[in-house]
Amino acid sequence: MLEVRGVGRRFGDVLALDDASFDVVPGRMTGFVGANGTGKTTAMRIIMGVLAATAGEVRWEGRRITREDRQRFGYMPEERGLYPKQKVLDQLVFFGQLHGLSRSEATGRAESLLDRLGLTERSKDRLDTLSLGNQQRVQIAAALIHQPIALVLDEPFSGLDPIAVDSMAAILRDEVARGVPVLFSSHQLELVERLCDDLVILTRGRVAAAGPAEDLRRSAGLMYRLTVGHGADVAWVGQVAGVVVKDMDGDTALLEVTHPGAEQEILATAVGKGPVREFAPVLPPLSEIFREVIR
Amino acid sequence: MNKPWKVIAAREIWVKLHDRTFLLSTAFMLVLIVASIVFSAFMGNRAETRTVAAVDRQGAAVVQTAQAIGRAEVNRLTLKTTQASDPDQARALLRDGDADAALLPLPDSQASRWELLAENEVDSGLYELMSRGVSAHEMSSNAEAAGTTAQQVLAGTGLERRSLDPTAIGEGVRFGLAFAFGFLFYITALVFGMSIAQSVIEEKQSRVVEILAAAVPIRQLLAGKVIGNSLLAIGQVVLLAGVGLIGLSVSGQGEVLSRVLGASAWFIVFFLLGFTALACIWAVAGSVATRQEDLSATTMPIQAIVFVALFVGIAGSGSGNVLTVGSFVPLVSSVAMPVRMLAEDVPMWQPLAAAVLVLLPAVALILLGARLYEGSLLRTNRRTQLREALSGGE
Repeated sequence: MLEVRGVGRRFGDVLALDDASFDVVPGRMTGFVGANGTGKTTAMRIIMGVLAATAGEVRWEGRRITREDRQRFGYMPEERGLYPKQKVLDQLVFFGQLHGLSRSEATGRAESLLDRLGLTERSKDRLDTLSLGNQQRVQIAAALIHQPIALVLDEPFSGLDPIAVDSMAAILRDEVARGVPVLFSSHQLELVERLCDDLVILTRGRVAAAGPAEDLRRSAGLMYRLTVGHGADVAWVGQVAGVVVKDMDGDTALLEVTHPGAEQEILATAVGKGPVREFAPVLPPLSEIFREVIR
Repeated sequence: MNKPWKVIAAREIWVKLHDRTFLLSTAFMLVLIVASIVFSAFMGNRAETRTVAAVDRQGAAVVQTAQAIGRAEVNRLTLKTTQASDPDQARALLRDGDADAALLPLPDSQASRWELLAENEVDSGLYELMSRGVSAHEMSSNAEAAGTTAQQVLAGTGLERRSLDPTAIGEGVRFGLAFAFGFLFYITALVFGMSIAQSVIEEKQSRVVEILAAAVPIRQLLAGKVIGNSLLAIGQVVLLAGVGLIGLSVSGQGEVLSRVLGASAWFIVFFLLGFTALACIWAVAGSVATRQEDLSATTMPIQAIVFVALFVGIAGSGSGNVLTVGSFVPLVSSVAMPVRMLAEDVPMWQPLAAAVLVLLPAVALILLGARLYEGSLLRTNRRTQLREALSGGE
């Protein structure tokens, strides 16, 4: 497990990251969200050791992280970068060797990755002759070449078309299935919602919320939607104790349960009054939680 | 497992060896060296013919004597005689280019004084040969008048030529070699130094440096770059110097070879020391710049050092003191010491001492360069981060 413990970073008078703590759990995808300039990139750079923390520490498998651990991580920096004039395959082999693979191992890995990314035909082309989407694929391949023990990806989905987003998502799922902890930042909240098991929400350099996505959404307030038969009225729900009506529209009501168990009373009453067409828990969308949390 | 610096160095070399501009410029320099050796050999051995016009029988006899002397000494000048009826016709021959010089008796004097007339300037080789021809001719006619022969008069006399130091190199050749050493150092140090700085800036500009910095220690990165490019630079110097030396020996200028060889070996040693010392600073020059365009400004101080080494080596080859002092000044010694060794017998302890003197600043510069490189790489991060942090605070 990758643990960030009380990490802070100060640039002159500016505290870019303040006492940040969160976990990135193996076999789970962790989404890193927050507005621009809230310290996501700073945190990822500190995890990767490219930037020194001014406080706190990063831990790997229960101990302080070492350079050797980090050498086995896969990293995709915010500012993309590979050698523009080098051929795709040569480039990947170089990065594989840098991460300690032998030349033949690196070549084998690079070829299979390019195959998986549908770039086999471009493997002998110079990077700068590829489209931006394809360059991004090579970038992720460079991060995966050494079968990393953890992945830290800064905005891996930015600038990708919908098809490329799907193939990137599939790659990340494969890595998670391998039991690798994956941390990625993104502004595309619906994408994070779709992909992530865990969330870390950063605001102004502080961790505003962290944990399993399900728990966060649940804790934001458990809501139920009640829809009754045509012509029937749901106005009565406002009288039930432990329930706040968030929205009402004829035969449908959106309720927040402030007192656990109140939802059972609502259901029983509704069934007693006539046909119930729907009674279901509603989890608030991530965007709502996000807005709530960063407020 | 491969050490990261080896992987980096291998990439630097691989990229350079696949760089068309680099290959072409190396080929061009090789051609230049071979051509200049062939040219100088050709100029040195070329047989030239000069036609001298004579206006009377006595003049023709003088030219023939000179011709015989030239032939006996395998002089590169071959003389031909052409007969003119009078001085005016001889002048006409000169103007028409049918004769290179005219031998005319001076009108006011006895038969023994002549003038050698040419259209523009009298060729000094021709003048020398002709003047010996005049002396020999006069000698034999005077001897004949005295009832003896020139051979008898000169019997038992002679002047042999021998050099105290048979390996000594002539002034012209020495200057040429000093020039060659100087420029080889200057160009190679500049080309490969720039290539280090450029490869650093390329990584910074393309942002690949962040991935590299995450994967390997920054010092390994620097070491790989410096070692890769130093190996290439030494390879090129050895190649160019080797071709030059082979060219010298093949073209029959081999007498000077043993001394040149010694000086060249030391040149390579000093080049290695001097270049490695500067290599880290070249890398720093790349890392403090943010764009390719900044390089000319950030590399200026090193370019100046390299130029001083060239300047002292070449300009100092005339005056002994400047060169002797320069041959002990670190970095300047890279050119000055080998040039001195061409000119004189330098005791072995001197190049050794000069090498030790380079070694100290080399180590210091490498350490300083590594520190600055790490610092400036981090500074870029900080700058970027600060901008990010500030925009976050808005």
